[in-house]
Amino acid sequence: MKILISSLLISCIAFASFGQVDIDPALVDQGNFAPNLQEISIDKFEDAGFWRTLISIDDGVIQHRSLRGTPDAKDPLILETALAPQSSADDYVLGVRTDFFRRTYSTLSLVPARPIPIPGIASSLSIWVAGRNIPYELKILLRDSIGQISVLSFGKLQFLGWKKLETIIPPDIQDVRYTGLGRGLDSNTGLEVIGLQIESSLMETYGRYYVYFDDLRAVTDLTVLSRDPDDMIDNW
Amino acid sequence: MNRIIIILIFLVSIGTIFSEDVLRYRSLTLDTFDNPNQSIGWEVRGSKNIAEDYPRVSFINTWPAALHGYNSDRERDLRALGVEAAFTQRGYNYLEIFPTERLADGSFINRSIELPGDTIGLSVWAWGSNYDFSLEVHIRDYRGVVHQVPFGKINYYGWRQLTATIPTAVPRRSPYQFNFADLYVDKIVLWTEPQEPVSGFFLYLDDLQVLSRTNTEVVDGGELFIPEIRDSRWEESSNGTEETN
Repeated sequence: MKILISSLLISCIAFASFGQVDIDPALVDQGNFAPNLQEISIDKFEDAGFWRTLISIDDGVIQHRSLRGTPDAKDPLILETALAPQSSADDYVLGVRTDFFRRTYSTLSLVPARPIPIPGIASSLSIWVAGRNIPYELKILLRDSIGQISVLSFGKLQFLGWKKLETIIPPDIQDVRYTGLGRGLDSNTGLEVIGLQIESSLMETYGRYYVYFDDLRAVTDLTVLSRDPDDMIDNW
Repeated sequence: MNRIIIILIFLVSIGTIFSEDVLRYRSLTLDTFDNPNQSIGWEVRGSKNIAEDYPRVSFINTWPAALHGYNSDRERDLRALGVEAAFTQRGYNYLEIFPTERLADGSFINRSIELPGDTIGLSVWAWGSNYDFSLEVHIRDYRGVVHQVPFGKINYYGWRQLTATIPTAVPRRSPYQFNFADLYVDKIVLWTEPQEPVSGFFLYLDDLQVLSRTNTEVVDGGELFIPEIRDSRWEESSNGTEETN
């Protein structure tokens, strides 16, 4: 009996081994389920007119403007024109100047004229900031598909000159965001940028503070946005 | 008591009649959009998700009858700036309608429109087709700070005059310049709303005007604030120096 069972097992294993076909992964059509992670630009801060700056009226005066320039170390984007065919220019940065009235825990807010959608399922965000070696903290405010607001930190701005700051979008935001994807490919139901915030430090809140921003980018999975050429557009 | 009231009315009347501020208000046309071959051109740029082959812009043969009458005999070649656009996604899409300058070779470069005097506000005739879209103008001050000033919604049918009052917090002129405005129209922006379809829509604009208070003060050496005069004086001076050397 034992011999019979053993021979059966051996024959099954041998059959399974010989029955396997070597599949070249490159030839497999993974369809819409293959991850399509891309780094894309969310906003290049080209036009100060599409941003507003805010500070508490007790704390100081804030103003912002466009200035010509860009960080030299910035990597060019591979996927540049697919999502923004007419806005590929990258000549300006956004400068923010704050004149403080007094020492205080103040918040400098940078708000887009309308929420800026992040296409796809984003996994991380990056932004170029020219710091002035002052330990203020930069945060970004995101709103997901059910209206939940999350605040993510890019870290301290304690450096001089341009630096690329990055932050990971945690999975708990992502879980919420998945619920919005069923509404249609063309609905901006995913994540939106609703603002940037700089939290001041009490010992350093005085005088005049300058900071510059360029190129907010996201690494995002664009699989959910991929569509067949013969698919319909839901813009009506 | 009656005497006091009469005296007060008299003083208010005198103040109204001789107030300089009232007399200085002027309404100036920045562009009638009637002449397609004028030096100021207009271009339109769409935001992300603009549909292929859009936006389209042209000087269309139409006008607000409330402004020009019906002009049935077409005596005047009246036109308006027509824009057609479509986006591939609903959302907060926008169109930038910005002034350009025609160069000698026929090409265009971006050129902001200078606002004369102390600007109170702007007005434009806008044709709407009941889309819940918003129109706003971007004003740039002498510091380079851009202010978004709303014209309002265009959720109505046909032509209507929209006005945008520039807040008093916007500095009208540079403290380092005398008697010259330092305020510019950068662009007019049309925002779509997420609840509205964007499969194709039209917008017409006509008669962009500015209401301003012009200053007529005179100062000794005021001509040196005019860039053309200043530059020519410097040029003459440097030419003279070279000759002397």
